Amino acid sequence: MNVDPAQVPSGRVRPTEYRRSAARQDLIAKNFGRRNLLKAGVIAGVALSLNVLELVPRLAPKAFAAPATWARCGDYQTTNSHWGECNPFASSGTVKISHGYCNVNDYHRADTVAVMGGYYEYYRRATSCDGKNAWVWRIIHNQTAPNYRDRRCSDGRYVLKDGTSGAVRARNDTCCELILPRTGTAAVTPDTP
Amino acid sequence: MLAAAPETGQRGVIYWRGPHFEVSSFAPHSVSISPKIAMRLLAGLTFEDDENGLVISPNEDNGETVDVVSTSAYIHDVGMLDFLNPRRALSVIPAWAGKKVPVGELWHFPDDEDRNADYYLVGTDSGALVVSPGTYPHSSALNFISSIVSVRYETMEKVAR
Repeated sequence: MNVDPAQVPSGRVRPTEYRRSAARQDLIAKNFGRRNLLKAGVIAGVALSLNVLELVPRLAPKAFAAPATWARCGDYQTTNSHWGECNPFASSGTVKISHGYCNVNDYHRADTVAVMGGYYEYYRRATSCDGKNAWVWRIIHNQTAPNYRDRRCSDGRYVLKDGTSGAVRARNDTCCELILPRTGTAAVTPDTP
Repeated sequence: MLAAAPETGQRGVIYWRGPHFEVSSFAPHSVSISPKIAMRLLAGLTFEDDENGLVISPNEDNGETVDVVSTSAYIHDVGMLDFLNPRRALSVIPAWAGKKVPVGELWHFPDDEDRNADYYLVGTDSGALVVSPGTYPHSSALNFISSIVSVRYETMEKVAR
């Protein structure tokens, strides 16, 4: 089965007339039915992922509603008073943060760069921040942060491949950080490419 | 797990590496609790790592569920593949119908400023797949997506109290 690119609808622009997504309805029916709601009320939840993990304190029934845009990014902000970088992994070194990971538009780059003996393939993590790729921190919400500047963050990763064999030599999650002007007291606002 | 750093901003980092896979995490709620209690978050988990996959499961009756939120893989000549669990998938799958594929529906998310940042989203009844071709031809990504015959997401529940 070959897919014609011209037949693939955009996920960004809602058609004026459209059929409802059956895949979405199936997802809801299978995973968010009444039975699951009841079950969620009696268990605590630990959420793990193989790459980017989060620990959630408890799976209350309300957690099964569609999460609000940016809600999870907001969690990062409100649960770590010393949060001053683009990612909660910042202090661990497992996510590399730099403006060097940005493209000309100051979002995470998605190109290929040759280096001695190999090349880097850069990708965006398109949905890493509650379904979005990028977000803005306003320092007014985190006044104890050591690096006292507003910033926009765009998630990505790189794969370093061997120039001869093409084998993957390294892989890392990365974050494009754009330091913003001091803007005072503006609230955290969605900002996505 | 970094549970007792003097700088509270450093607490909560979790990192585990096995012979085949690695896991990293951040537990924001551990910042405000004692290191001893924070470490209990991991004490009840068993990691089984082999070349076919990594299984993380609770090994005692601690009333917790193990829930894979997301996972990613690099696919040669196709790009990056991210899997989103049902909760995350629900927030990104459009309300309108996509192109039918064997495991669900497919949408294209173009990036007007950087075509290399385009991605494809596959909505299924078990979650969502995000395929990012990067600099690879989109035709490779679409062929890969159309070749997927099954997507499965399982939550391993040990205890419900």
